Amino acid sequence: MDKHSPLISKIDKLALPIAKIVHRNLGFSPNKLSVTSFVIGSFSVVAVLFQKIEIALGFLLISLIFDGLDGVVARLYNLESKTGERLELVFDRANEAMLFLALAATGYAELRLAILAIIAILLMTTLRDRTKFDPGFKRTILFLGYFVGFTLALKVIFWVNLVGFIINMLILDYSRQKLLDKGVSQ
Amino acid sequence: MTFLSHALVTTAGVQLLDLEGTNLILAYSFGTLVDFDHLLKLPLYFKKYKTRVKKHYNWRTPLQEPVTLLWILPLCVYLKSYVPAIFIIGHIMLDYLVDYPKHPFFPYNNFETKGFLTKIPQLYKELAVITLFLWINIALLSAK
Repeated sequence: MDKHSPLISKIDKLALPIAKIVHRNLGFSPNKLSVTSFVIGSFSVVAVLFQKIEIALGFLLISLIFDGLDGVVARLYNLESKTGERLELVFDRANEAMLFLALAATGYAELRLAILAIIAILLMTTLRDRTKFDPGFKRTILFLGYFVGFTLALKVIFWVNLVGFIINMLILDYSRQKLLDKGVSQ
Repeated sequence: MTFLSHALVTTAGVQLLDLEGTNLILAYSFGTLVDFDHLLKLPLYFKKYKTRVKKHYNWRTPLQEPVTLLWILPLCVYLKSYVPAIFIIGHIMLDYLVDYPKHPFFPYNNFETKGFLTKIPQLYKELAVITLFLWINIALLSAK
């Protein structure tokens, strides 16, 4: 627990009762929670394809809760693993891609924007583990899309993640320059 | 390359492609003003060298290395304009004529190169670019 930020520790404390129920009483491991989150997220994609947006957002909300819980359970019960992290990452990105493409397929948003938003998120993801900087504007912004339109939501996702990628590049370059200035070769 | 060389090449490109409005702003942003990324390294420079002048400090950031195309190409698709890609490539090509170390693929790879035509003295290359593009600009301007 010590290696995590104070904010994460606070979130973990708040989620402790739920984490206990899902892990101890229901027997969910972090990886099982990731898989469950992905499956429920896939229901959300199916709901979008049937143009049941409210139901889709409902599934998405449940999926996001499970997605958050896997990390909490992993941290609280010392079950963190590289495989688990990778699994969560792949499921998250796959779910986002399917959701955005489903929105495009049903005419809620432009296909071009859906693909651009996916690319921007993937770019940002390639560097965020090295900098720990992630603006976090991904699937959650789709709730905003319900009110302002999914085209605008995808635009926001594209821009925030593209800028996030640029910031990540600059953070890494700045860190490297600091080392070079200290005489540490790369 | 110096600011003047970049400005001349960008202006020639703007005239050749007959750019105006947003595309004109994009052309100068990605062809010339991208050099303002050097300011990001000012705090580190002052920390190390105070007010002393240090030649060949690594002012470059990945924003003007080929890796920057990773985000500029999606931006071009978003804007439905080829201008950012064309002008940043022009900027990068000019910079690669200067023989200081560059990291084209950082942060994904630490490969280092000095660019092309490294055996020709820097001053000659700079003068050649300035003369050629000054002439092109004047020729294009007088042809209008």
